[in-house]
Amino acid sequence: MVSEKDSLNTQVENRLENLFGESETNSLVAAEGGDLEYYPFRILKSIVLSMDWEINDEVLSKFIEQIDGLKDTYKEDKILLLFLQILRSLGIYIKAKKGGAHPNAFKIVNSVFTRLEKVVLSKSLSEASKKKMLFAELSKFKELRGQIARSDSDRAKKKQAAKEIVKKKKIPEAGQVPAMVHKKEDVQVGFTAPGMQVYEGKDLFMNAVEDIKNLIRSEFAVLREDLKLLKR
Amino acid sequence: MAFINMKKKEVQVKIVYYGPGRGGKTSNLEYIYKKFRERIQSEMITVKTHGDRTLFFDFLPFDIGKISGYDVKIQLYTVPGQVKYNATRRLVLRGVDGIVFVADSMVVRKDKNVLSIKNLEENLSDYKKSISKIPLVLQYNKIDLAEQGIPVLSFEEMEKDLNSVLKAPSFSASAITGVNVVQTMKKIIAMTIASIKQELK
Repeated sequence: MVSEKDSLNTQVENRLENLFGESETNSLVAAEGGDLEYYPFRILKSIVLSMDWEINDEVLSKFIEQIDGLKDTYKEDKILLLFLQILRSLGIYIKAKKGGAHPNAFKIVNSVFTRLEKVVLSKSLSEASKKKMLFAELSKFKELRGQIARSDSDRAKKKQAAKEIVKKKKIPEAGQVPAMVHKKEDVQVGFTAPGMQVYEGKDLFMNAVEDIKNLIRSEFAVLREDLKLLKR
Repeated sequence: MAFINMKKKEVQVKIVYYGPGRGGKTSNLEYIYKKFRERIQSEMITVKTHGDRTLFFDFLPFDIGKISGYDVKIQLYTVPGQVKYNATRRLVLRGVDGIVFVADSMVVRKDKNVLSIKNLEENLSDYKKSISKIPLVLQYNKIDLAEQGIPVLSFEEMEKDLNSVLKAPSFSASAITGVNVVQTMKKIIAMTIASIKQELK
């Protein structure tokens, strides 16, 4: 005799089989044509996959270190080199900004790496297709750069406006005005007039942002030069 | 306890996919949705942001038809895995009937799996539920990465880390390729319905 429990189980199994039954495509998809015994991007892939929002210096340093190693390995392959260069620039940017990095930066890291893998593993891929993939990623990277520059400039404008307001509030204090006039350098560089030291840290932050922007600019200049070489 | 409408003879079963960030919870639901969307005839709702990460939750409802005279409606949820969204995870766990814990098999994610299952235990205890009593299936995801030479933990190591005390049913899986995704879901649905039936007695 069939117990109540067995009957329920059978009913559930039948319902699930009707709805989800089918020969599942359970075969593991191996990378197309990839040499799995020695796959040079293994560690980099592991790092990209493990990148999380709890991002830290250690992960990013490993990421950049891996890319540097691979750049050396693939120094003769300009397409791969450019893919790696984009990843490196993004790595440096994320390392500097961490959780505050533009959200699209993480998306682009994943997307660049996916295409890079395709280029590495697909032996049948033509040179033209590889270039097409590279340009697609490069254009995403450019777009991100624009987005970062725009958001930085908006932030800088807001900060400037806030500083102006504070300046207006502080100047009327009679005793402090002469000191600020005489210490023109201080006012320009660090706002060191009495009562205004609090802005020193923010200026440092602005300088750091400027450094990062310069760094991205210079990385991008290198990319542009490489691209010119590639087009020739 | 599941929502039961005696008048309509309808049971709503809430199953939550829990686990560390980037472990593949959303990929599980996406696989099910893509593969069976024509049969389940429902829509998957997902809220994503910041680089395709789950911000709030994913939601996939479907009916499995009549069982013991009751219309059974399954609701699959995921939680955001990132540490900072614990309040959301707790909220999604409210009224949960069964759990799939999606662990990440990558060696580098070993500690995050353990932290996440502890977090699950704590959050369940807020609702006076015990991880050892609630229907639970463990899924060790991303086994496909081993094929690409990425270091992954063996089934035995995952069992030792996460299941040595719980002794819950467990599967090695690959949410991307679909290996054991449906088996995991079938198992948790069967266990949860049996548990609801038991509670109703």
